[in-house]
Amino acid sequence: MSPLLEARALGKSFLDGGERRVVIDALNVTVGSGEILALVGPSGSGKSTLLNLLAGLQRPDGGSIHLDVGGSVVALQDLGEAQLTRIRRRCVGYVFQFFNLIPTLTVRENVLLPLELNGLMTFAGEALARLTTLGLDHRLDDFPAHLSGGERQRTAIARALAHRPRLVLADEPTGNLDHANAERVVDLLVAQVRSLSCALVLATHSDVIAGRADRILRLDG
Amino acid sequence: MRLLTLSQLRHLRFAPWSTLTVVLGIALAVSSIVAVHQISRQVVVSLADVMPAYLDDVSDLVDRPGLVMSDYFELRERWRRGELAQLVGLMPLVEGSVLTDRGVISVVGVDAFSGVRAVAGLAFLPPGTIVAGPSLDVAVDESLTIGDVPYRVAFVHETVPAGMVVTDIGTAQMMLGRDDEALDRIAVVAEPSLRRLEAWGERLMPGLSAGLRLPAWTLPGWRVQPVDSALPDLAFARSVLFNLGALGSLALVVAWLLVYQVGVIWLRRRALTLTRLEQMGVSHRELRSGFLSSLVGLGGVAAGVGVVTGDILARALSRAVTGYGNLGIPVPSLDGWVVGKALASAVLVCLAGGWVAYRRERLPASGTLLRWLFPCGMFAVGTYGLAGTDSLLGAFAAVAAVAVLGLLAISPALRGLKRYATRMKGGLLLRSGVRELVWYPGDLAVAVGALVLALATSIAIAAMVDSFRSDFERMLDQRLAYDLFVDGGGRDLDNLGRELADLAGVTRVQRYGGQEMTLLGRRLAVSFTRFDARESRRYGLDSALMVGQCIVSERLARELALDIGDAVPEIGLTVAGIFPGYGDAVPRLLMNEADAIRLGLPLRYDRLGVDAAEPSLIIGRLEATGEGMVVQERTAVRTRALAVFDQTFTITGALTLLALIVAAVGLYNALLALALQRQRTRHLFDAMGVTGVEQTWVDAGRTMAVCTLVVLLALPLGLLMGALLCEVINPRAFGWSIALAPGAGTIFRPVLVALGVSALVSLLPVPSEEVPDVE
Repeated sequence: MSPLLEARALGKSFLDGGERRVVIDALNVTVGSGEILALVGPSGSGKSTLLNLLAGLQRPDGGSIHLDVGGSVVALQDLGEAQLTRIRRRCVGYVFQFFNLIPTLTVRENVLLPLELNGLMTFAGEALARLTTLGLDHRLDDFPAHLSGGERQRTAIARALAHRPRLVLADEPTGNLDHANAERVVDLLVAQVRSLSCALVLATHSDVIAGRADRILRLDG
Repeated sequence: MRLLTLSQLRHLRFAPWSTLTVVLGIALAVSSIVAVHQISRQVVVSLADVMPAYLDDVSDLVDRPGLVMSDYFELRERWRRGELAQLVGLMPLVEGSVLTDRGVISVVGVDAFSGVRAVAGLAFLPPGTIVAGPSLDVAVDESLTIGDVPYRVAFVHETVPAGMVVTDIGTAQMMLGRDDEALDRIAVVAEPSLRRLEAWGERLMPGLSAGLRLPAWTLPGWRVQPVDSALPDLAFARSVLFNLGALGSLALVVAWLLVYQVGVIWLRRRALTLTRLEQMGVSHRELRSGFLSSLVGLGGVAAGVGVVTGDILARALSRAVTGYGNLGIPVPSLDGWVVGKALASAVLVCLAGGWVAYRRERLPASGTLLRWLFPCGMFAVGTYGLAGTDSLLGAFAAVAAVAVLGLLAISPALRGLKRYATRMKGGLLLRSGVRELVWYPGDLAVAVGALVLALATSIAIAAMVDSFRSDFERMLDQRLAYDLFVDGGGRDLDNLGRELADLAGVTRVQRYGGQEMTLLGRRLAVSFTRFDARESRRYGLDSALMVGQCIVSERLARELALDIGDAVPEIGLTVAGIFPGYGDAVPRLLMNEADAIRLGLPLRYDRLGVDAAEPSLIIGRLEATGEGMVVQERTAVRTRALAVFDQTFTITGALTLLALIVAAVGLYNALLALALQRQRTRHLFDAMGVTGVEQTWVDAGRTMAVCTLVVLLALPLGLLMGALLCEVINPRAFGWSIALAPGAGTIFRPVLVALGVSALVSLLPVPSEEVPDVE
């Protein structure tokens, strides 16, 4: 499996009450194309920070992150904001624990948004069909406020995959759901990721959910 | 309880930016109130001369047809028998004008022993002597001569108005050539408690009595006229002050909306904490007290800032309008009244805004009946203010009711927009941005309402001022029919006029005379000249004013219910024309010289209009010969008149601008709250790769949407309010009406202001420390 993403000697720290707190220290991560990697660790172990670094939302204090963006490999730490934004838009799908959806767009519009941003409206049929697969075909014109927690997360998955990104980052996507819903959402996420052959980096507390991944990376802060 | 308050106060520290906007908004509103109050006090001090000392304690003037001294004695007898319980004093008055060796003077005769305080020392005045004012330029023991009879000046008293002498009844009757039964009016002191109330109101808000007419006191068989309306220049000045006071309060209303809006935002951010406290057994009363205490604390701070800045603003505005009024006295120092008023205004705004916000956010919604009763009540107030009364306060209440009804339409309009927005087409980012704007219509309605109110007022005033200026310019074009205007300052210019007429190059000399007179108890200025077709055109007549006809100002026509073709009571002249008379503090009547002679007016000419081939030569000659004469060229008069006009509205413009700034602060708060709500969405957009430029475009689109919405709502409301200002407020306050003719600038200027305000507000940064509740 060729590496899609390779981070070397990654470091990140924050100022906390006047003291510098190291969250990630000399971490090496490799994610292969189509691979599912689970990040497991207690709260504060740096899972969300690592995802933000991999997405280019935050910059590392040290180390390097190389991402295959389709034919070429770029070093994220060397790119400007505009280039990082372009890469996130085209190559990355993101699923958060809370507040995944734009509250003022309907389910349909939320899912179509990445396609519109990338000028890929030809994928609209496929993206909307995925909503049917995820059991949301009766919710297309509803706004997020009217959805259940599980429905919101499934919509978020559909949106994260709509533009066929090479890398999906999911930050505790089931943390806000009950056990049954959590199982269902993860099953659907894994199945959809596998069907599109994209890579998934999944941050979770749960060893059960982590068990669905190809590989587990434990972070202990 | 101490900890609850502490918690609330700490919240202010966690939300420093919106705390600052509240203080700023209230401080600006208080500045507006303080500035208007201070300038009004300055004007009130300058008005002291307008109220003659002999009328100081008088509340009303009463008369009836054919009034003679025996009527006064009869009335006094009834009063002494206790039949007129509402009266505390009576004083007979004889008034008139007479030609003396020092020009025409007004003579007032009073009964110093009547019990009404008149001029100090009058009771010791020997018969045949008079009290003069300092402006008459006569010393004690000098005399004024009427015919061959000298009248010695017993003393000079500063409270006697210019051009007037005060004396006892008998001497006045002699000076005016009247018999000893002659009597013009009876001054009375009535309803002292109401007078005290009125005086108290005047101290609280100078000019209040012009808008709030106290219940009329009646005396069957007699005509009763409040003393203020018998002194038109005083009534005029008070109307100006009332208008300014009403406009100054606008910023306070906008500040109330701001406090309400911030209150709602704070309560929403603290919703979880407050709910937990309720679950712990803390009552609503305790929670509300803590919340209101923190707002009142801010109000106190803002009032302090507002008092200082308001006083500075008053002095700056006073300097700006000096060219108009040249009041010659400084803005008075701050006193307890103005400080108390500022503090009370700020506290009231905080309590009212906070109370309503708490009620909306934390208590069950009020019933449907109340929601309907309020607009119905406003409609009733508006209808009564327009049709049920002719008071100035009623007119302002109608304007306020129209504004409130307009504001009440904002929320339904936003809800309609929300329904439309859910179906709108276009780019998804744009859809999201526009929908965010109308997603919580109740929240945005307050901010939009504040801006709409301020902008609509700005449009209304701009429309009124533009229309007024247009009418004023038209009036100037008509009136300034001569190359030169000469004002003799009371000096008789008859001979000078004849000399000028003989000079080479002078093609016409028009002589004007006039004096004040009383008609049906109303003081008015009478002017006379030789009216030919050209002179008559100056007042809008198509042909020459005939003998037996007159032209009256709109104000006089309104006060005496005169129309063209009617006969003027007491003097019998037929009204041939009505002119606006902008800027005249006193009602005016114009007639031909022949009618002036018939009515026994002294034929003295103190003003001239001159047409000359080379006006500058004439000016040079006049300046060489005339002492104290004012000579002005047509263009200079026009330029000065328009400059005066523009200066007059400097204060109005400044007050409207203040209200707009407060509204802008409110809009900033609304957009700040929106931006805070959007922080998570923004984070999501970042993760999805939406660029900063794209997000800025969304923000700009939203700003444009706010601006469009505000303009669309403010424009019709402002024009309607402008029409009320022109058609209702102006006639009731000043006696003239203005044809509403808003120019393009009237519309574009406020639109540009709205654009600027919205753009500025959207460009301001969202402070990072202003985070939603973390409790």
